[in-house]
Amino acid sequence: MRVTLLGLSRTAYVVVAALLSATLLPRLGVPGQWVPDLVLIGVVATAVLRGPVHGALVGLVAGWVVELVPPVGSPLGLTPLVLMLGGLAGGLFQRVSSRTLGRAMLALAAAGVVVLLGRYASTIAAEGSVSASEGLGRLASTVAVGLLALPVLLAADRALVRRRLG
Amino acid sequence: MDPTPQRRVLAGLVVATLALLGADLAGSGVSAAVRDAGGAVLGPVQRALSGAPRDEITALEAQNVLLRATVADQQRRLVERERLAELVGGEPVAGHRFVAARVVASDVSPVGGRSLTLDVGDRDGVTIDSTVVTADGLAGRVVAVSPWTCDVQVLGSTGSVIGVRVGPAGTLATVSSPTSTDRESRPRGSLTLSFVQPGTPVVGDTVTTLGSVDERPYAADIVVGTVTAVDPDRGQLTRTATVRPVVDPDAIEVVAVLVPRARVASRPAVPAGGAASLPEVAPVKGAAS
Repeated sequence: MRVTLLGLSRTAYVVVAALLSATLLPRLGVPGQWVPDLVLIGVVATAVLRGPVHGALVGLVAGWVVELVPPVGSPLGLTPLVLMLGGLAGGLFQRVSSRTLGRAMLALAAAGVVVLLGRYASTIAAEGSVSASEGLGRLASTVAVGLLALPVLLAADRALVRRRLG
Repeated sequence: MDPTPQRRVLAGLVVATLALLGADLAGSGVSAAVRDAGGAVLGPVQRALSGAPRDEITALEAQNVLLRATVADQQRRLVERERLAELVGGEPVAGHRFVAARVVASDVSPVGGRSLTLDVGDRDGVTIDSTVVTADGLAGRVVAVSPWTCDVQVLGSTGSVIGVRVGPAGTLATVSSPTSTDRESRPRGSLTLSFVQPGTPVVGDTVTTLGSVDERPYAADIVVGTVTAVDPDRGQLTRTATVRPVVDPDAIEVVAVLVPRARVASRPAVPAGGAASLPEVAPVKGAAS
């Protein structure tokens, strides 16, 4: 596997995004249930260009980064699996011919829903019940931030690939 | 990248993740090492991100936290003492020898019900099948004992059935957790009462334990709950009803573990008549009055 600028910047984005959502955003006064899932946006940005398998792989690795940023999740390994499914769902929206933002947004929404369902399922398995409104704020803010961040991420990705750095 | 090796990498990583997940759920040391590594590597970054320490403010904040913790600790002790006093003076422990205990852990079982861990064990005289009560009434029974702790199956766990007496007449019945085969739906946290002999429960009837031989697993006459609803008569052999337990399983904090008293001496036969011929009972009555 070659080390490329694209790979490095992708890793940096995931680490920074995980740290941002765990530490900085709550400290800046963003309430916990409205913190956008920045990592998921990054995962979907690369998944929608390269397909489900790639999306699942990136989602799994990014999930491990999120899991290992303290507070370390419990049970260990659940977040990677959920994010993997999210990346997989985002990758299903890949279409070589169409490069519109709408498709990427759809992919992000689908991935967000998959992640939300995964969280619900694990909560139900652990506690027996779940409040449905809990993760909806997070989903909404993720889609809203994605509307701004996805075009930038997609453009950066394409630019790097065009210059043979990806 | 070619899709086939990518798939292989993905499969390998998924297997590794699942293995770690399983190891963590099984409580293995591997996951603890991973956790420590995550904290050791990324913790300093987080500390740096959340702002450089400002000396005076930081010191004051630290002091504040310390003071708050002290106050909370004292308050907790006061509450605990109060609960203990309530428990020692309470009705469920009257006439019993008991060990006071504190709940140190609680776990909701995936198949329903709750189990608690108490900070008393074998060395405090707790044995398996001891009755556990709170100041209000029956909490459960001890199902596992280790030297310093014991595990309690809380009332309403799947598979726990208690023999009880209902109401002033003392009709025999059993109390168990609601099962999926129940005809009636019951509110969360309540129990199913089924009569074992003919009779009709009345809303408001008190349900007390029947008691077992040698007080294991349940001592006699401890309040379990009150009848809150009676199921309609559908021609079944015996009546059923809903019982609301007096003890809230989520709020158990200080409990008493009753030490079972096994009867060793045979019970003497006594002639009817004057009080003078009741050598065993008379002193007790005198002490009580």
